[in-house]
Amino acid sequence: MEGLVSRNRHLLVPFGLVLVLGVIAAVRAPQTFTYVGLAGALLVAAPLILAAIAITPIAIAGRGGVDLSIGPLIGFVNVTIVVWLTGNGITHPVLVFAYAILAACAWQALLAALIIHVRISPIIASLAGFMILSGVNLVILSRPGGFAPEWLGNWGWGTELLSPVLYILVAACVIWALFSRTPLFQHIRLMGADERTAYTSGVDIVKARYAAHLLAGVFAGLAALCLTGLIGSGDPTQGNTLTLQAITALVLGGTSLSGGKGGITGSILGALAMYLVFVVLSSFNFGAISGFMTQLFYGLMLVISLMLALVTSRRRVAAV
Amino acid sequence: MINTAAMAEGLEELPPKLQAAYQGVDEGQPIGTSAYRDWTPRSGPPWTIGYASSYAGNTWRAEGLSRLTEDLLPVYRQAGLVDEIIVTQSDLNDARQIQQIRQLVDQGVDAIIVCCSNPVALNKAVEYAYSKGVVVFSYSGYLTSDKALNASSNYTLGGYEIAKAMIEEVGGEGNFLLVSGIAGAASSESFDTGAMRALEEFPNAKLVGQVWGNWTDQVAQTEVQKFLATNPARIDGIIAQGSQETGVLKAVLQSGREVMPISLAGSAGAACYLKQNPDWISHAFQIWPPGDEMELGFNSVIRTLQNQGPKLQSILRGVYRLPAAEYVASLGDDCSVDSTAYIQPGIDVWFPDDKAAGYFLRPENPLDWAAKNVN
Repeated sequence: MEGLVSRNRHLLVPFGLVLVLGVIAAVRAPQTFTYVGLAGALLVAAPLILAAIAITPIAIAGRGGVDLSIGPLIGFVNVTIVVWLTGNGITHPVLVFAYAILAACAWQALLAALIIHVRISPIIASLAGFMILSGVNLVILSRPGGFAPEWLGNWGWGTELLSPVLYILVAACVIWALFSRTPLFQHIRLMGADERTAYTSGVDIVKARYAAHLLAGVFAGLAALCLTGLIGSGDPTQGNTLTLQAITALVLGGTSLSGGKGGITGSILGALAMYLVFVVLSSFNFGAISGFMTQLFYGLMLVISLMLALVTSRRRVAAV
Repeated sequence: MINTAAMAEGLEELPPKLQAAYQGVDEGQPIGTSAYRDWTPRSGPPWTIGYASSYAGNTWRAEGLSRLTEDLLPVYRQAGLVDEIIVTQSDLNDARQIQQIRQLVDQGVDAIIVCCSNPVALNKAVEYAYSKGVVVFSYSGYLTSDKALNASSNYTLGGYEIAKAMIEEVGGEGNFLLVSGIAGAASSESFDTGAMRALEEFPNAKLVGQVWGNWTDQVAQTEVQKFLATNPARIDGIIAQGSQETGVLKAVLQSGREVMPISLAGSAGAACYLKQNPDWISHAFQIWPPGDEMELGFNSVIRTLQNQGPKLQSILRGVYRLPAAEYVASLGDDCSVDSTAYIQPGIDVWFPDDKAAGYFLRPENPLDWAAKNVN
């Protein structure tokens, strides 16, 4: 038991945050915890949760790997599902799922190739990706519109808890659980903690970095499907808003941007905390500034969480 | 110029003068018969209204909100029609706006006004609201759900008329710069679609550039400055979407170029320049006066709650063109080109009772209705 707590100490702050915000939400907006409320919450929060999960393996892989292109990538898959697939009558679920995952993986493979073979810093490569995809998305679809395949658009009802969105989230957790038990994942962690040592220890760092990005691609594809289900259409700019939110959730969840540490439990808790802050703030009538209050609280929550994490780790060191 | 989609079921119910406002409407905008022709709210009055705005970071949004909360709420509260207006803002994030609409419904509001969103993204939230007896009204921009109602100007027709008037103003030919709103935003694209149609009608009118001012003077000023600095070609006229023409004017003034005609659509700063230079341009337009457009939406919401029965899914107002002298008449001699305020026609011009009556099956002034039906 003590070992379990010790291993997951970085989750204490995000877990506490979700608990506190959950209690406040239960008081301020009790409808959130009804059957339909939870179904709606799942629907609205899923793209952010999956985006936060997607950038986790890249962060763990080190070199300051924050994937800034994650939002526009999700937007790219969203607009191409609507324009290229639905627009040409390709709506079969298997084809749409396969396309979403393969397209996101192809982008991530390209990013990995730039980082590994051209030796561009991950943050610069993904920043360039952010800008390229933001423009490409507007070229593909100049304005919000079009329609998702009917089966996917129906996810947007958000009135049933046992929905495809829930199954996708469960599937993402299962994929992570299985992958995190493989030697390849341990290699990614080792590489993230100290790439030179990992290399000299015989870790295939090229393979490990490609694996981290391809795993991110799988989750990004799933995030794009959930976003498309949520908005039932294509939107060339919506994905962009996910980048900073996903990074915030990642950091709130205790994953280290310096690499080697973290996991998706923290990212999920971070995304949930962000969703709950939004629910709590929406229960007040802040008027025109409500959107800005959300940003302000995200920032405050981030700073306070990092400070609390610092205090708890110092106490631990002092106790040792 | 009439869009066949606009000749949808129910349009013939409108008086012929109002039908003209539907010319060239954005192809995506639904025009068919309203789902609220005989709809009554769950309870009330007084009613609680939610306002789920997608953004609040420019003067246009601020002016609209100010009309809602500072002018309309006190009057309608006094009349016993409205008890509270709950305002949310999603910072241009569809997922947040969906969550806010669902949360407003669960909090028990009777109607929700939304502003300027993805036309499709909110549809499921709208239908969730409808299933709970809550009407969702989009003012400025439109939603495609058949359970939503829309009230705004015809932006495509506005873009067409404004661009056409600008080209004609300079003799039907020349180089033009288009200053759009936000890339990817539906209203902005609707306007541009209309403007492009007008440009196609004049073979000697050439579009030499397009910049996006985000409907914000400061952004428009910066973008036009950059364009003028890097494009030495003569610009004969600037076709600008509203709420940013003061910024466009300042950029031209700073560039040292002779001030060419710039489309005017409500910004008081540029209007003041017109007052000081009456020969600058002969006309102006009003297609989205922020307060009046908000009042158009709010007025339509109250009428719907009063079971007045909107005939169509989209209440579209035509383009309002006026001569320069009339446009600047309300400005004093001490006006400032730096003003960020708006010149607005006023609801008695923008959506008067006799015009509103044409859009509803059982029309009545909302406050007169209150005097008869609210204790």
